[in-house]
Amino acid sequence: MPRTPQTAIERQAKASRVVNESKTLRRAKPTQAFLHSRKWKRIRNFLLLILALELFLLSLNFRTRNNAFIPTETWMNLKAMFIIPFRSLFDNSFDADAVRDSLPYYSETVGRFKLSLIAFLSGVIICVGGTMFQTIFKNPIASPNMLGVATGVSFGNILFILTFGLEAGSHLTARYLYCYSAATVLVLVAFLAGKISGKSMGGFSVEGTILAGMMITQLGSVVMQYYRMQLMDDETGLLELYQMLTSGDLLYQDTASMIIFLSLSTICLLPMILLGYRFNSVAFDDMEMKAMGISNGRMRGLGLIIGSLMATIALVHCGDVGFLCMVIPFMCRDRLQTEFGEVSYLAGMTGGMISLASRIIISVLNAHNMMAPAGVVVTLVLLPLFILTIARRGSVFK
Amino acid sequence: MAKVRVTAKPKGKNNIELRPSENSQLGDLRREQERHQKVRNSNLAILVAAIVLLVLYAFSVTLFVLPGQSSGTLAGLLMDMREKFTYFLRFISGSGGGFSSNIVRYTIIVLSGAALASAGCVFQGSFRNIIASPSTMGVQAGASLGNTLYTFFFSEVVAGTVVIQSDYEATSNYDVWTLNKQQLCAVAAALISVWIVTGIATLLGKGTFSGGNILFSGIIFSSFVGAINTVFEYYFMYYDPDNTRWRNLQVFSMGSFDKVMNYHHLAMMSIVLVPCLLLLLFISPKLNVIVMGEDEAVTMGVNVRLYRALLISVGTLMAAVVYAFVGAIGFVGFIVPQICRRFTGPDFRKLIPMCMIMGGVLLILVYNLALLFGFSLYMNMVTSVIGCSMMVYSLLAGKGGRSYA
Repeated sequence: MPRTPQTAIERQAKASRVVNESKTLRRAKPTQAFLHSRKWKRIRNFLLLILALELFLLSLNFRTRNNAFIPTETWMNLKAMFIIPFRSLFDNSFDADAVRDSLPYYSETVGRFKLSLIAFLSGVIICVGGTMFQTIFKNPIASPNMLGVATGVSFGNILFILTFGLEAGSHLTARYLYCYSAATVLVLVAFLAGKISGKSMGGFSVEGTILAGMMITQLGSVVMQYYRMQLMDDETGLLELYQMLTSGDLLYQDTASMIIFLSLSTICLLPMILLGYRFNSVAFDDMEMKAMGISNGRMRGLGLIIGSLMATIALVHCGDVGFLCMVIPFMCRDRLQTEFGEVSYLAGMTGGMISLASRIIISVLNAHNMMAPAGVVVTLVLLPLFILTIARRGSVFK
Repeated sequence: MAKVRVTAKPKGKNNIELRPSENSQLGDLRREQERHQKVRNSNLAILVAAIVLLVLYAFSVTLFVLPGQSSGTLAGLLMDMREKFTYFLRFISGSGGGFSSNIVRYTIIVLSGAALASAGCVFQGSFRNIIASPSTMGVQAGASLGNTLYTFFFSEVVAGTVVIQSDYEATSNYDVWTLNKQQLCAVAAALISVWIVTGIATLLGKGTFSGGNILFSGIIFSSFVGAINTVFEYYFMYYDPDNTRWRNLQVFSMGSFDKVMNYHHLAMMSIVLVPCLLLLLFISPKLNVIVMGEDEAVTMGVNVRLYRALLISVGTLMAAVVYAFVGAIGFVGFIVPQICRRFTGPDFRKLIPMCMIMGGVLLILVYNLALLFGFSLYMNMVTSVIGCSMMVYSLLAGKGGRSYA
């Protein structure tokens, strides 16, 4: 039987059938479409916020002595904590100490509140800083942790302990001075090496910076080891103090430390909130930036300064949580590919929650008389997540 | 009178002074030929380096002794030389002494330098990345993890105190496991850790190797190992009254040749190291092909996967054995190949022997320096300081980091 020639109408009908089929295929995955919609993003961000809040409340309810879980007591204490300053300001006959003494576990709840705040905010800012660095360098290894910040902070701690000895607790401002200046110097050295090793005048070599940072980190860790052995020979408990400072078991919660921590983290987070969208531009090349009329250098410089300051704050006030800023942005970039604002929000929230969760785990362990350094718990919590991410999907950065 | 302006010489490699009879192309050709001549002279460089190694070895063995044995002054040194001569005579005649222990120590140093440097060279070649070295690849971290696990699980407790290093002379039964528990644990952990690191890197690169991924997974693994070590350190610090186990971890991480080392250690090290070094000399020509790229190597009939696996495992084994006996010594596997490339060029047939010799030379020099300044118990720190300054120098000269990732 000879094959009948196709008419134009038949061909058109066939084509429309194909189009219809593809449309039905597209309609068959409504969840995919929903996951990419703006509505879902809003819902997700809201859910993250709620989850973080719940973890925060959970963390508030742990006590150091016994793990009794009584939310009403915590609520009374927190209410008193916020109301007492105002009432004592306006009411002269109000006796603040009597109110404090009448509440059970008042001081413990306040300490728990400060600890949770420090842990959550440190997790947020170190992850946002890590996202910033990875965006600028387009490289997952370039976390501020690797560029000498962690080494600088632990070097500052060692200097602080060697200078003041066992009376270190009464000279806290000196500690912040030492830590911040040592971290600044080491980061500057890494950037200078990157700047000088750039090929052309004014060029900036990413590889040079990362390499110099790695060298500084390795050298720093060895020198720290030497000093730790020297401290061990002293036999006065200085080594324990150093370990507690660097691993984050000892968080200073006095007024001066809280003011320094909160003000510096506000200074860092404000430009991120205001300029979040514009930081997308730091990932472009110089030529493209010039063509679009954006001054790249200024944004990049701002990003570098803010990113290293963020990591320094977290490491000084919350101990060694540096593993967060390398892994969390990597994992979040795996979920959401490009947009800086979204990635930094997601990374910040996740980092804060993981930091809080590790604090809760430590509290549970401490209640059973088991010692666990904070940074180690963070690493041990993160590693399975990270391996899962790697196994699910290959390299995010090429 | 008009001033004569002298024009500045053009900078850069491609602009060279031309002879009157040649144009720019001929000049380039001449430069190429000179470079080839330099590479052709690399045999001479290897010979010179070998002679330097021998002289340095003899000098160090006769002159440098552990602190406490000499007063350090020139007169003391001269006195020592006389004593050494008598020791030498005694050694030749069969009765040992301080001199023979010196010989053992410096032989171990030469072996370690050769092993670490050639392992670094092999890693750099097979991953095509100049910052791949035993310390960045996770070998060092794995060995330290093995040492920690040994200290936790297998260290013996005799009469209330923890005994770490089993004494070779005291033990009556010469069982390999009883004598070398610590070293075997470290080597096994280092091999497993390199397997894990390359596995993670392969996962990251979806089945293909790349330098950046290796580096990334090595760093992740090292920080993970650091976390585990910190947990054990805490445990030892709070539960040991005399901190013997804590100190064992610290001693491992600082690496030194001043520990009690005798012929048994030397024998155990050389049983592994000497065949590995010889094997490397034999299969080094394959590295030249592997460096050109996987596809090219396959086209030339080289089984890339087999040879790469062989090279990496041999390099890992050598570095792990050195770390297990001596302790962590950073940067040797990273600096020495960089230096040797300037003498011999990129040809691995010349580069690997040169690395072995230069590794020995540099480690002896560094050890002698450390001995003079009293830092010989902290060899890792000394090599790190030297390695860092060399790295920064090469960065500032614009030569490092070019082939990174």
